[in-house]
Amino acid sequence: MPSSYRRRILLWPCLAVAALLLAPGVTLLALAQNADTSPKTDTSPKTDTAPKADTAPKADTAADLEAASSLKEEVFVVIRAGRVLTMAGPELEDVEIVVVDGRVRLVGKDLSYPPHAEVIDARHEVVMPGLIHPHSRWQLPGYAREGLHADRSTAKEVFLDELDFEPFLAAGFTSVCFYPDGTGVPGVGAVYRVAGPADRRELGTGYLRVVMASPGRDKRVLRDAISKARQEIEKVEKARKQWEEEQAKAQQEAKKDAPAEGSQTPPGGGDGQKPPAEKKETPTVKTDAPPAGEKKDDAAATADKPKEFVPPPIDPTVLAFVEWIRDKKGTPILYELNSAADLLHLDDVLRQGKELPGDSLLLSSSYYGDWFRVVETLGQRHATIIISPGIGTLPDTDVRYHLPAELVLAGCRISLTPRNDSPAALDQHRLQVAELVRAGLPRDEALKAMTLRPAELLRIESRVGSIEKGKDADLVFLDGDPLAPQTKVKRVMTLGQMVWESKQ
Amino acid sequence: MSGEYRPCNWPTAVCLAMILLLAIQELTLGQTQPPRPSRRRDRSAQTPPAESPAPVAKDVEADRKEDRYLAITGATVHTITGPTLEAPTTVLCKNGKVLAIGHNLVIPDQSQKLDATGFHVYPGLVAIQSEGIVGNEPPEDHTDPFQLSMTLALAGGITTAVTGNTAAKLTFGTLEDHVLKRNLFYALNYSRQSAAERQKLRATLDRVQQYLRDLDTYDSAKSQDPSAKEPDKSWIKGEFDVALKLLRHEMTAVATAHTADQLRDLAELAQSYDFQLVVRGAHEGWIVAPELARAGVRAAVTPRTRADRDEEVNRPNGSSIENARILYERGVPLAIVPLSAQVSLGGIAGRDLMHLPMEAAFAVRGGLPQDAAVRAITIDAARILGVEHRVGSIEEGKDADFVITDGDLLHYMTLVRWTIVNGRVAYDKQEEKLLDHIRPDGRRDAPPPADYWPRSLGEPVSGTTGAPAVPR
Repeated sequence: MPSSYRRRILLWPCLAVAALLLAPGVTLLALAQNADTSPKTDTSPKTDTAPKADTAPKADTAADLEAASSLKEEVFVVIRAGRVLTMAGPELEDVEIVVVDGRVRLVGKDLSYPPHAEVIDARHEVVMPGLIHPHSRWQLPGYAREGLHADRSTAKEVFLDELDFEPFLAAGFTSVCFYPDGTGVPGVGAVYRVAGPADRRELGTGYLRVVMASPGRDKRVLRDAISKARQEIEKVEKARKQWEEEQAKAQQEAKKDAPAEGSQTPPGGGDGQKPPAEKKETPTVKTDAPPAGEKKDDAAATADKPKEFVPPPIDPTVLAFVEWIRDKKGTPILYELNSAADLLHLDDVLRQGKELPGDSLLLSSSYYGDWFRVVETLGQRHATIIISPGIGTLPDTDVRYHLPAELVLAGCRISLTPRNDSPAALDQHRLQVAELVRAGLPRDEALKAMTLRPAELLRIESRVGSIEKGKDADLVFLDGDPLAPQTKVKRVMTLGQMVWESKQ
Repeated sequence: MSGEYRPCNWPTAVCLAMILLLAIQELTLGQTQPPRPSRRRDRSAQTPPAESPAPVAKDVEADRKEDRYLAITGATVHTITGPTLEAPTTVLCKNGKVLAIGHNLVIPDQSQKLDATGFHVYPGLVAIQSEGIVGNEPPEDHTDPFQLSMTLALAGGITTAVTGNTAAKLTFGTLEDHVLKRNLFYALNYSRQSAAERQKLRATLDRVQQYLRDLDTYDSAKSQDPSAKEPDKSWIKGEFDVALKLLRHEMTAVATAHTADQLRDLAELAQSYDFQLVVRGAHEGWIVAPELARAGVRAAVTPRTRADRDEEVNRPNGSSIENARILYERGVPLAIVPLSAQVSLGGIAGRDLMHLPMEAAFAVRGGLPQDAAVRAITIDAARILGVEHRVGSIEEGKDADFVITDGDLLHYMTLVRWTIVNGRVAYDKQEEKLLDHIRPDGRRDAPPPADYWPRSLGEPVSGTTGAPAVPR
């Protein structure tokens, strides 16, 4: 359970009482809705130093009003499903999914819902979360970059209106992550819903792509990125020290000017030690190479006696690495490897950047290669892995090597991506996965590898990837088991609305 | 899913869970803190409490880092630079270096043990010319340590190979301690085809030689005459810098030369300027062996080379099977290289790098003593690369690079059983599924296997009939 949930839940009792007073009719279903608005009120007592008693009642009434007004506008959709693969628990038979305003509110039997709810009859269908494509360049023009571009976003290349997602929908995909093309560090990805209202299609940036497919070429780029990031951090530290010295000096001078004060303040004391606020806009400190505009302000700034330290700007091309090294967290990094040796080369580079994560990997040429050499290593670090479905034959042998199953057995989490960006590959994706299951991959893991696991990898698991309370109703309706070859996708829903229906 | 129906129960459930979690955390924290390594407590008791804790922490860290031991037992050990130790001799390695060699050694419990009873331990072979075994320069960025050609080279007993101007170890499965030495050689261009090139090289060497003389004069003069001027060295850049390194013996020159004329020219140059030189090829070295020896030239020869005698030339010429012997007897240090510096996957087996010991055996056929032939692919080859302090012989403190064979290294029936690089088993014949079907127990008199191709992984290796074993 995510921690944000826990926080919300603690506020439930008081909100529930308020809601009960105001709307006795459908309170049960409205509870979660209230919970959704609660984080806004939740943050105020934490950040404010003002007494709690003062703000809490205000927030409550505001939430009540909001809840009361939103109740009438809520759009209820009820899906009566023959079978539901939630990906969060066991498979359910003959259940109802209640969707409110595009989000799943309840899953269960004999649920109560208001009479105006739209009921979708899927009693002969299987409902599962929409598939997620974790690595695509669908219909995007080739725009390969070389070198270090951690600041580039694939979102700038994607014009959703120009892309035809019909094959995605027909194959049951509801989300896709576009990756930046190129080698080295070509940039961050962009995650979208493949259909739905235009303003709610963006889902995030996915991951920063780092290619380690040809170590002779790519190691240098990653090494440079790490050393550059360290230089940037050093630069900020240096500027901070300089600023602190200047502050101390200014204080001393102020005291000298002040009459009848002989004592000296210790250097670096006083406000110099305070933690600096990092996001102030006024330029107040000399940087190593300040822009032309800043120099003019310098005289004025020193005259004004700056109160806060403003760090010099960090090179955006390495910002992602700076965040990882400085804060130990940041944009997830996906390393793309071509052979088992690349993992050793990656580890060789990461020895200089231990703060960086090293466990999200894409194994290209995945089912054919020497990955068996490093399966154990990958399992030990519980790696998160994107691979194409397929079973390889070892060179010079007839042994069929089931890499996905071996990875899962070793302790990895796998996401399965269609073999390429052709409509046929999308269409056959479920079949390919079925082949893996037949050869020994646990069925449960295989289904998750198309839904929940890619959602986790792309850090969108709080919104999509499984059928759970609070998640977006991005669902696929099939006329049978998703892994059976006969099965067809009948309907696709995003945010509680049908966006695609089979014409057959 | 029952929780989904009655969300009112959630708050209490979560509160309970959190209390439970906190309690568990407290319990586990309380448990994990006391049993710190007892060694540390003892040490802090001995040291005065005022001392800063930093060195203690460092010590603990060093102690925690586990030592890697490997013990090879029961073997006959050919140390090359020392005596051959009869079986059962033990070689004990620690963290990739040889720790001890001898009988009845105490073997640490945690050490990896290799029972090599009946096998022979030689130092890993050094291939001073190779292609495609390790990656391009810099090898630590290019090598694929899972490559088949690396495995095959290891199966040929090689543990040190060369790429470009860098020597690297065949560290199968790891990139640790991969590079051995960079900037091995300076390639000399001194052929009769280009008189200008020759003149230029000599002029460069002359100028640097004069500088060194001036420097000597200055060194002896400055004690008596404080006003003595140090010779100008601002011009020593580029080619002059290389020449200076050559003349100071900080670098070794290398040149490819086959005929007696070419070899004589190079020998004369090396002798007159006094620098270290390695000649590659040296087909007609047997003709000019005394000159080469006098100039201190070292040679990398291929005993199997054949260059027919030119009948129109009225002097000795052409290749000789006795080339290696004559060079050796005249005192020219030798390294032996095969005809092809690659591991061949395409069918010239027997002439490629996998058969380096066979190439050395050819030299024996031409009269080279057996031990000199082995030295020419181990310690003498290492000397030519300038890495003899690390590899090439089995000595305490040197790298734990061995080839463990089921017989005499130069015997044509001998197969490599294990190859050890940096104290790790880099090749194991019975694990690698390449040659495991041939004499699996290492016995020479075993009947030949029912070998056929293609053979499938997992099939029985004994050659007996039966259904192929189903892998996994």
